[in-house]
Amino acid sequence: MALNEQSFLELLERYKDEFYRYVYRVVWNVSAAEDVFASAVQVAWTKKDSFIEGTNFRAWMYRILTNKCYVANRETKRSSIDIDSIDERHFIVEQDLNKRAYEDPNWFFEECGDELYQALKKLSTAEKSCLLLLSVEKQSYKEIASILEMPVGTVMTHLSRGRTKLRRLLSVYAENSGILSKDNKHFKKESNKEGESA
Amino acid sequence: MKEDESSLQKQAWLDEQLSVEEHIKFEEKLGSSEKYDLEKERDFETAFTKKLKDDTPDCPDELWQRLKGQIETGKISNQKDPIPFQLTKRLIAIAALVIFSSVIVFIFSNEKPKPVKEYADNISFKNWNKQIASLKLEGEDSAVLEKMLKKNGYFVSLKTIDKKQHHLISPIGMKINKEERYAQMFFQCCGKPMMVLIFPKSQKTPLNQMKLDELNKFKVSSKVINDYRITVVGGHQPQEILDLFS
Repeated sequence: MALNEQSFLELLERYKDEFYRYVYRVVWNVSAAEDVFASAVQVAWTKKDSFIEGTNFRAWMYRILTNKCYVANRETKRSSIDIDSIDERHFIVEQDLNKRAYEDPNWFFEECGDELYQALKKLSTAEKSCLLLLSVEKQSYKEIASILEMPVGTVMTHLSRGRTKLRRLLSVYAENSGILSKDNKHFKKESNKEGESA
Repeated sequence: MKEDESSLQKQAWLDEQLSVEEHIKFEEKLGSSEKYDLEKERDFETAFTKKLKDDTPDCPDELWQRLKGQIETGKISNQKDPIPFQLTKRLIAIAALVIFSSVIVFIFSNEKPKPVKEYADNISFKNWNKQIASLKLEGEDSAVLEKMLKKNGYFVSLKTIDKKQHHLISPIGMKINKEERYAQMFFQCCGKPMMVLIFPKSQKTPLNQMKLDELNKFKVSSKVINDYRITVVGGHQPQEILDLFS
């Protein structure tokens, strides 16, 4: 049975914030996010007959939203799947820096501030979508594969590449801005504590 | 276990994508330091998620109410899929480019580039030698100049050039352009080159073909005498030469 107006609006109202946040994070532009969101809602409403009530509304809606995000980011699924062109050498993570960031990740992300979003912008739509659908929206690999219309293996590759890129970009930023330098007060404090306890 | 397979399992464990059985089996194989590292990595991912969740806005109420209203009033079904923002920007850019190109093409198609350059070049002594040669002055007196103009069909009068006046004006040469129906006279005023164009007032000024930036380099004065428009262009006071014509 297809959705009627009332049930469509009820479902949409329940998830609207989640959907909007997803679009906002993938396109990273307020006016573009509003346009993409509005456009996706209109498409969903006009194609509501293709949705079968009782099936996964979120996954159905995420598929529409993601397609709109690809258009807004001027990318195609084909271009974003072409991951072999990336030179892995650019993404060798500075293990020491990351280990230190792992000691207090909440503090680390606060210190990075907007740089996290600048780094996220540099990811492909597929990498961002995979990361956001998994981490924030708590979708499974299979659900993401269904939403993005790609195999589970490709989803895992996008996740791995996205994370590596993100960490590399943040490591470079942290290194250049002195966040993770040895004389950083935060880590001095941490190492003093370790020394005291020893 | 192959390295690739192992890293895939680690990733699936971190993302909580393993079944209960797979999860237990995987953790049994982990050493304590390896497990500690993975847990730190999981904490890192949790902090990343928290940061993203905290910093992202909810759907603006205004936007939601507008969309809801469109669905409820049935407006949305009659609308075409709106053009995404980026695409709109691209279309605007293309349209602007097309308009700009059309304007450029229009300007250049209506312009005769050769005369433009010619006029600009003419207002310098360097190029005047060739121009002067085309019609050598029979004398420097106003009467001689007037006679030469009348002989070529330009019936304008010239006052006597007062050599004692403040501005030192002397004629240098003349050229008659029969094809485009205008006379060019060349003067020197206080050592600066000046050009006079005499053409029927019903005709468009040849100076219209000069680009504004070229024209801005010079001073221009113009007046109508009988059936002619006299225009003086140059780097000094054009009005002084214009006043010679009556």
